[in-house]
Amino acid sequence: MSQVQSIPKKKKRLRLLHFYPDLLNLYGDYGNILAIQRRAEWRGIEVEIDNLDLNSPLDLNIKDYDIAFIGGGQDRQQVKVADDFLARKEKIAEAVNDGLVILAICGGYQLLGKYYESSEGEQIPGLGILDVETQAQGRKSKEKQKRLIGNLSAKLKKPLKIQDYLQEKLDFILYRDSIYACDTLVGFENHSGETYIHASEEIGALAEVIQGNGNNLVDKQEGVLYKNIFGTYLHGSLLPKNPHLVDELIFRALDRRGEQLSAEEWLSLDDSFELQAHKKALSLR
Amino acid sequence: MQKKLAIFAANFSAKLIKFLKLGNASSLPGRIALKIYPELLKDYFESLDSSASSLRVAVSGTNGKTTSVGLLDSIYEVYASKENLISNRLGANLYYGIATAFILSMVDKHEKQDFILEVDEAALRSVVKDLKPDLMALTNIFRDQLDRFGEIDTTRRFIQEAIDEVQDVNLVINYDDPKIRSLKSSSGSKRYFYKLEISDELKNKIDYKVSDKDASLEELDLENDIDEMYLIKGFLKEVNSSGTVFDLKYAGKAIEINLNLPGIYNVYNALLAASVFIAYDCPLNLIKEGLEGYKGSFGRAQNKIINGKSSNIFLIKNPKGCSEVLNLIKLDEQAINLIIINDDYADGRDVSWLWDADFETLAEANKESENVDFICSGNRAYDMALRLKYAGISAKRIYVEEYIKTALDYASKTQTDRPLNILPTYTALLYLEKILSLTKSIKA
Repeated sequence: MSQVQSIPKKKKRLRLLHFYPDLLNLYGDYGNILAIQRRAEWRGIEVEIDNLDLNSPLDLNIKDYDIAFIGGGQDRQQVKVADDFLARKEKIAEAVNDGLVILAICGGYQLLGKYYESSEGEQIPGLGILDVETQAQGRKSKEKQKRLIGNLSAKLKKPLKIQDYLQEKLDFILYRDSIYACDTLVGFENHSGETYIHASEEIGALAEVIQGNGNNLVDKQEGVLYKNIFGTYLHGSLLPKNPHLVDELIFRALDRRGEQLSAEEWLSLDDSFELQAHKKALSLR
Repeated sequence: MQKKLAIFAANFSAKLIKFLKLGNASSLPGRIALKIYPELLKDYFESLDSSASSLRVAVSGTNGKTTSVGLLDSIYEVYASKENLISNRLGANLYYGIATAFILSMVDKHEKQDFILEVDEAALRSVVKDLKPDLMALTNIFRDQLDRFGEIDTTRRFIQEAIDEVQDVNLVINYDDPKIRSLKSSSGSKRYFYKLEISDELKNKIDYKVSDKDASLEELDLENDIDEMYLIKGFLKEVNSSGTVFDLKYAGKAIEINLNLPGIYNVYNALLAASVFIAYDCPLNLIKEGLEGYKGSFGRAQNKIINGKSSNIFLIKNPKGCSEVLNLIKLDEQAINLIIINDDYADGRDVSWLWDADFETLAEANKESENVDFICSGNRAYDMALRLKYAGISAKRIYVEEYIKTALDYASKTQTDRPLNILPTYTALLYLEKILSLTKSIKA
């Protein structure tokens, strides 16, 4: 053992908030939490996970967290959380404006939008943080099919922030061989709502559909990206086989804290299983 | 005339399919016959002597149907004459598969009075409408194949609608699953409940987890006081990697059952089977004989010798059932595990469920191992490898080979002194069955 005393570097730490894990937990959402946790820990970043449920204090300061995750549930559970979610609107909006990184999948994505219109025409209000609206299937697209279910793959509309960062820092060949050269997202969709974006400068679709339906049956767009909110219909679990997206969430969270990892630290993981699983999913019809 | 033609066509097509080796003819013959004469099944039951006592049982629920029917058949064999029974134990459990089993039996002059059938949840209503069972036995409702049904609530609705379809049908109900326990029947029928009791000591020893956390259960209407007459209890005494021991308790009597099937989930299947025969007034000692005589069916905790290697095959298909199997295989730290994940329609196209199964339970054992302890195969082999990696199992202990046959060869020929556990999804199991019968290396 060396006797040299080095000043211990302060360990990086991320606080993760999981919204309604007991109610919105239908499609392997746990895998998303696990992917964030593991990929951060493998790089020496400590992760602390808190759950938010119906009993959590309404004055909980959501902006104190670095990453929030909201999954999807059955329709009945979704209605149940909707009121509680609305009651936290101010705290959530404040956090969003402060740059909180949010991954919202399926039901969570819909709840952040303006409203959900049921097949009877009834509007269930959402938070309205995302300028999107969701209609029960068939109301707008006029196409009758029960649910949008199947493999879904899509091409990112714009490079991720971590991609821009690493492309600049890294040798071309190193970059090309890494997961960061990947410009697609893959997963499985299972939803009855069709989501439409009111496109503006600030908000746009996350990706363009290659295979499957995505947001709706009309415009071939998938998900949404607004500030640091990623909304999507991709399950699968989404994050384990889209490691570049996990790292993007971590990148943005660190960025907000004014911290960052070096290009070498980002590249330090062996991602061969992740890449193979991603490629396989791209080939599925 | 049309009726005879329909039966003839079904029989002929079944023989042709078998002769040409096109498959096992478990569903198409029924489809053909019903096309020719749609009233065939209705006629069949109307022609039977309604005054004769019968035993007509439909088993449904997400997990445990096949093993439950196997156990029921085994008790039936002790209790009554096998000649008289139609069962789809090895067959298909959708409408046409069941129709095929009946129609092919019509070829024999001897018309069978009794049936014990496993029925898919989504097909249940249309099946019971025509077959009019006198008892429906229900296993459980876990998350299964959401890409087919969309949501779990849908599955429960399917079952309730099927119950409402048949007048005066008796029910055998899993008391420990709130989604089943809250099912209602019409006033003229009886409901039998089965439940399992486990001492705290044993619970700790086997690391038993109760049911999934599910906040939606609060809304279900559950009765707590069940009349002794309708309550069948199991008291678990021993669990090991090859079997279980429990006391079967009913109406003040108790009898010890040594079940040749491992895993607590199989005790539930045995309790279901026992409750069904209790409902038909079968004595407990015959039930014991039937349960203890059952050795399992292919792919359900069955032992095979593959390339000279002792192997256990466990079908996995949804988070709950898979977690039960994982709990079981972790008892054997010596074994190599071959996990085969396909994503055909019958497996579920969505592999999200892997993330809800408790693979973390495997992470602690052999943590420092330098060997390959897990082989991942099938169409979604890499999704499986990721699941293990994120569960905390070191990547060097994981080997991936998408082609099932190559993976099986690798698994059975390397590290030959170690036993092998094989965990296939449904279509992978069918494929295994095929290649194992081709290699003829199996001995039951």
